[in-house]
Amino acid sequence: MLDYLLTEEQLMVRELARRFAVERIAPVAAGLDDREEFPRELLRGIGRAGLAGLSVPEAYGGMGLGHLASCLAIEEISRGCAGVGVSYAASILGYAPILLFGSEAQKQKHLPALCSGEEVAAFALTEPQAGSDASAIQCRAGRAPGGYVLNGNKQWITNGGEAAVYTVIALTDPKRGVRGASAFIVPREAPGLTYGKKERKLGIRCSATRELVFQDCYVPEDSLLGREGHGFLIAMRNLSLGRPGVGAQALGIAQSALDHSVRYAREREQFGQPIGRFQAVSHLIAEMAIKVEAARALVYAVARSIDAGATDFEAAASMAKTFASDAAVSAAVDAIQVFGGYGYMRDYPVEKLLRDAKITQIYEGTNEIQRNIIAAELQKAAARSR
Amino acid sequence: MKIVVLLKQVPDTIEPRLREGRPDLSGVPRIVNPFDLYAVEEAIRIKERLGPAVETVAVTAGRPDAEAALREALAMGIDQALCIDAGELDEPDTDVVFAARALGAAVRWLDGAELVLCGQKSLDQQSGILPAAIAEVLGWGFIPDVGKLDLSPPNVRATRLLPNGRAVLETSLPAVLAVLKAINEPRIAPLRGMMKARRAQIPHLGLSEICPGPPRRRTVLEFHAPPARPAAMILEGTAEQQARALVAELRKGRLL
Repeated sequence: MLDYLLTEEQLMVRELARRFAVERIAPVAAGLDDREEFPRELLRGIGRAGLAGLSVPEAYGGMGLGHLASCLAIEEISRGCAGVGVSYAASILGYAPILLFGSEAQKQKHLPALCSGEEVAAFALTEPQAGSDASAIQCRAGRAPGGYVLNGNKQWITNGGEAAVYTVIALTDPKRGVRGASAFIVPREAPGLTYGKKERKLGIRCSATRELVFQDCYVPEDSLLGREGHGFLIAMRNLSLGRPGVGAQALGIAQSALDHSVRYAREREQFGQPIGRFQAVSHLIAEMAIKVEAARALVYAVARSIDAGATDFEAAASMAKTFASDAAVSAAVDAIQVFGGYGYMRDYPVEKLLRDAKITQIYEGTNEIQRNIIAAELQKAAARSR
Repeated sequence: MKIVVLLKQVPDTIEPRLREGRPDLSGVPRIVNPFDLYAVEEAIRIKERLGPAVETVAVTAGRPDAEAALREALAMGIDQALCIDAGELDEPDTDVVFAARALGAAVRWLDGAELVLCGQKSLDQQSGILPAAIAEVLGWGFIPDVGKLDLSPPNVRATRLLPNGRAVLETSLPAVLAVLKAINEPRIAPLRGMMKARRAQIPHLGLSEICPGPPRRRTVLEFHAPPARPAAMILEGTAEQQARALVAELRKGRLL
C-alpha cells in the first residue's frame, strides 16, 4: 500500500531483498534456528547482492541510498529469518559510528570490507550491570604508549565472536561519569580480547550473542573514534538512528506472521470450510494486518524524515521501535492461535516468530526506556514552545 | 573472446488454458526460460575466470518486450545485449529450424563469437532441438546436456550428463553448448547490476535485417490438455487401519 511513496531505487532494494529472503533465507531458517548456526554464508550472499552497505556512500564501497532503503532490506531479510535480520542490522549498528564519526582514514580502512558482506561489525555498549542504565558502564580505557588499554566486560553483544571490528564504548575518564566515555574501533585481532560462551537464547538463535572480555586489551591511538569524552554521545546517536532499523526487524517478523496466517486460513478446513470464513479467525487476521500497516507507516515515515534531513526524530524513532515491536509480538501470538495446535509445533514456522519477536521489545532500548524517551521529548518540546 | 548466450522469453506456465483448441496465454506473465539462466551464469563465471578479454552478449529473438529477459541477463553481469524483433518466432506454431536460422544469423551478425551457450530446452516447446539446429546452421561443434564446462581455447571440454552415466567430450571452438541445471546455481542479480540494467539502452534489429526471406511456418493442428488427474484419497489412521481401508477400496474398484 505504501509503494507509491517509494522511489524506484527503494523499490529495487525491496524487490532484491525479498527475492533473496524467499530464495535463500526462508528455506534454511528453521535449520539455522535449530542448530543455532551463525549465517555467515547468507551474510556474504547479502553482501554480493549489494545489500550490505546500503546507506554508506559509494566512496567507501556502499550504495549511498539512505535509511529507508536500509530499513526495507532489514524488513525483507527479517521476514525470511529474524536471526539473519538481526545479524545484518547489528553489523550496521556496529559500523554506523565509523561512518558518522570516523576520520577519512578510519572509514577507508574499515568500511569497504563491511559493505562487501565479507565481514560484519558489532556494537558493544551493554555490560552486566549496565543495560537500560547505560551510564553505569565500567569498562575502562587507560592510556598506554601509542594507544589505549581496555579492561572490562561487554555483555550480550550481537555478532560477538564473529565480527571483524567492534565499536566499543569505554571510560577514558571514569571520574567524569558518562562525559568521560570514549568510543573505540577494536579489531578482532586486538591482543587481550577474548570471548565468553555463545549465549543460548529463546529466539533469533542463529544470531551469535557473546560476552566480550577485555584484559589489558591494547589498541593503537588511531582506534579512537572522534574525541575522548564523546563516547556516550556517539552511542546515544547511534542507537537513536538505529531505532527505525529495529522497527524494521519487528515489521518483517510481523509481516511473516500475517503471511502465514492468511495462507493457513485459506488452506485449513474445519466444519467443512476454510477457517478463514469464520469471523473469529478473519477478525484476528484483520487486527494483525491493521497493526502491521500502522507499524510500517510509522517506521517508513521516520526513516524518510531522517533521509530528508530531519533533526528532531528522536521521539518518532522511539515510537516506531515500540509500536512495531509490540505489533510483532502481538502478530506472532495471534498467528500461533490461527494455526491452533499446529502453531505450537516446532515443525510449523509460526512458533519461531514469537520466539524471535520478543527480543525486539527488549534490545536497543527496552520499550520502557523508549516510553521514557518519548515522554521526555514531549516535555522538552512543550518547554521550548513556552 | 566473445561468448553469446541465447535467451528465450517463455510464458510462466507449463499448463496453459486451452481456448478453442489453442493455448490461451493472455495474461500469463513472461519469464526468462529457466534453463537459459544457467547459461547466463556460466558465461559470467567464464568471464570471471578468464578476465576482461572475454566479452559476453545475451541475445533473444521475439516480441519487442522480450527486452525484459535481456535486462535480467545484464543485471546478473552480462556485458551486452541484442534484441531481434521477430514476433513471428513467439507463437506456439514456430518452426524451430527457422528459429535456428534466425538466431544463427544473429550470432554471425555479432561477428567474432566463438562460443554459444543456451539452455538445454525451453519451458514451452521443450523440443530441445534448437541448440543442435543452431550449431548446424553455423557449422560449429555441438555438445548437449552439459553439466560441466572447461574452456581452454582453442578447445572446449564438456561433461555430458546422461541418464546412465556421463561422457566427457572435447571439441574445438567455435562451438554451441546446451547446458543443464546441474552446471551451476545462477546468482541473484546484484543491486548495482539491476540499476545498470534498468538504464541500459538495448539495440534492436529487425528479423528481415539479418535473415531475409519469408519465415518458414508449420501449423499445429491440435492441442490437447493432459487428462485431468483424479482426486487423490488420503487414508488416515494407524497402519492397520490404513491397510484395511486400502483393501476395501481395491475391492470396491474390483482390483482385488
